[in-house]
Order: sequence, then structure tokens, then C-alpha cells
Amino acid sequence: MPPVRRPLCSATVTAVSVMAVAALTSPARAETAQHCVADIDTGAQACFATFEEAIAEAEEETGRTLEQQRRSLDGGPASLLAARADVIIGTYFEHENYGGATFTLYGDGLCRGGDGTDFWFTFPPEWRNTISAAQPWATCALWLHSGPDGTGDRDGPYRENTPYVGDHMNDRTVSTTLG
Amino acid sequence: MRFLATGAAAGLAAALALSPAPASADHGGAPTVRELLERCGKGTDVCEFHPSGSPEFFQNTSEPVGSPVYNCTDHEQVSMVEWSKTTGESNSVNLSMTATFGVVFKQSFAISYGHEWSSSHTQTQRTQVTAQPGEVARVYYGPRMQRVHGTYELHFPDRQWGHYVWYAPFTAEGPADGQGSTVTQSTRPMTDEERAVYC
Repeated sequence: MPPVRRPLCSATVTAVSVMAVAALTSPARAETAQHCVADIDTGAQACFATFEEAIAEAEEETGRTLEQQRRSLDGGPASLLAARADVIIGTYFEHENYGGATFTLYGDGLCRGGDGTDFWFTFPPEWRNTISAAQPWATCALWLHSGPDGTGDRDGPYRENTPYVGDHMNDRTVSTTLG
Repeated sequence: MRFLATGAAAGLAAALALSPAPASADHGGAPTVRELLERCGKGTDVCEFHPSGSPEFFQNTSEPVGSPVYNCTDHEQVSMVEWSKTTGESNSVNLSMTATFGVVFKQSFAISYGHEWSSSHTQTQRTQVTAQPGEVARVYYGPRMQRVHGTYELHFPDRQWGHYVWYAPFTAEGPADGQGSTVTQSTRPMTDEERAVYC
């Protein structure tokens, strides 16, 4: 088993100050903020009630003009992210078939695809026991756990887009590991 | 929570991708989504499609099919109109989905939703129409369609346009097999011009 690359990251130790986004967002309740993103290393989390808000925030964050971003969504220049910086490593969905609220994790590199754990994350309280679908990104294989910090019952690995995580872990996930 | 909900997640990944994206000094200009998808499978380590939400089903606009029936008699006329209509697929980048990115999309769709993506559907029917004296009857067909949103994820072994990893928003539409389509007919009085030509 390769050495673990990440410090244990729980959402209870969120240091949200890294992202100016946090100042604008309301509490990450799934009912009011449909789309959350979190840095798996720092726990920094930002949630958006609507896609438009996310875009407006992205404009502020990136310093790009809104028009440039509109073009990117309309099939113009694509959204970009450097692998050397953060990449998306997984997206989790409230409902099956990728429906409802979403929670997307990003980290500082691709998964190595071995048996080891490259990333792990404990979901914030409002996201526990709600997940029904999942998508591994960045060559990750993804596990779901019923306890915090990769403990308890688990199911996986999910290596493909998974529209329903199965009865064993449906609405029971508290933490996730990726490798 | 396990119940069906239609796509509330559209665009999330794109939003995320935008937010932490510093334009680095070595960034070699931004490609279009089309340029990126053309590279899928050609020098990429990874080219995957991640859908957002369930497929959205919708009714396409009804269009006339088959030939119009002109009733030039002085009594009600019942006729059969034979018609055939093929509905194809389309996408947000206007590229043929026979290219590699399209194959990736279809594989991902099958894994993601448990049934095959339908690229084309041909509906053939004989429809009975009734026209009163002096009327013209037409048959209209509106296919049931599905729309899927999502994000392509592409990894390159070397920097392309300044980055190793790119995300591209994408939407595809195609016929929804087994979802029911609409066939309607309508009649209207012939114009003088039509009467002169067809009667």
C-alpha cells in the first residue's frame, strides 16, 4: 500500500477563508444551495443556489469577464483547469441518475489508479446520508463509507459514472475515499 | 435520496472549472469546445463524458409528413396517407457523433443510464385522414426527443493550449425511443390556387 498523500481532511475543519466565494454563499444546505464545490485538501467549500450565481462568482474569482465565460458555455473557448493546479476528482449527487443537489470535490492531482487511497473526505453534516449517485473523475476509483474518515461499511470501487450507488450505501454515505 | 429528479446539476462542473482557473503565463490561447472534442481519442490519455442530471424528455415541433390530400369531390373523403420520417441526433458543437467523442458519449450514456443512446429513429405509418369537400388534409408528426447535458474531461500527456486537463461543456439531443411521439392531422379549406392546380 503506497503512502498516503493527504492529511486527513474533515469538513469540520473548514478553513473557508481561502475562497472569497464563501463570503457570498449561504450555509451549504442542500435545499438552498444546490451546487457545492470543495477543496479536498483544505475543506474550503462554496455553494451556489443557481448556476448563474456560480458564474457570477467565478467571474469575480478568476477576473475574467462575464462575456468570456458566457462564450465558454455557449461552445466558445472551453472551461479550463490546469492539472498542475486543482482538478475535479469526483462528483456526488443527491438523487439517482445524477439528479438533485451536487457536491464536487477537487484536489491537486490525478488519482494513481492503484489500491491505495489518494484522497479522502468526510462530508459536511448536511450532505451525510443523502448521496445516491456518483461520478469518479481524474482516473479515480471511488469508495463510499458509512462512517467518517473512511470508516464503517463501504461500497465500491465505483470506476464509472454510477447512476445509483446501490441499496447498500444509498443515503448512508458519510465519507468518501478515492484512489 | 432515491427518487427520480430531472437535471438540476447542469453546468456545475463548468462552473467549478471556471472558478479556480488562473490564466498561466504559458497558456497558449483557449481552444473552442469543438477543437477539444475533435482531439478526443487522438493523443488524449483520457477522454470521458460525465452527464449531469437525468435525460430531459421533450416534444419536438410537429412537422408535416407525407403528401397533402385534396378533396376535390362534393362529398366527405377518407384517405390513407403513407409517410416515413427519420429523426436524427444533434449536439452543441455541430460535429458528427460518429467521431470518437461521439462514441465516448454513447458508451458513457449506456453506462450512465442503463440503456442505449438512439442516434436515429424512423417512424413509418399509414394515417387515415378525413377531408370535407373543398378541404386539404395533412398529417403532422412530432417525435419525442431526449436531451443530455454533461461535461467532457480530457487529459493530455503534454500541455495543450497550456494545460494538461480540460473540461468542455456539452449537450446532445436525439430521438427518445419508446417514449411516444405525436401524430396529428388537420384540415383547412383549399386556396383558389390549390384548387386550380390540384382539382
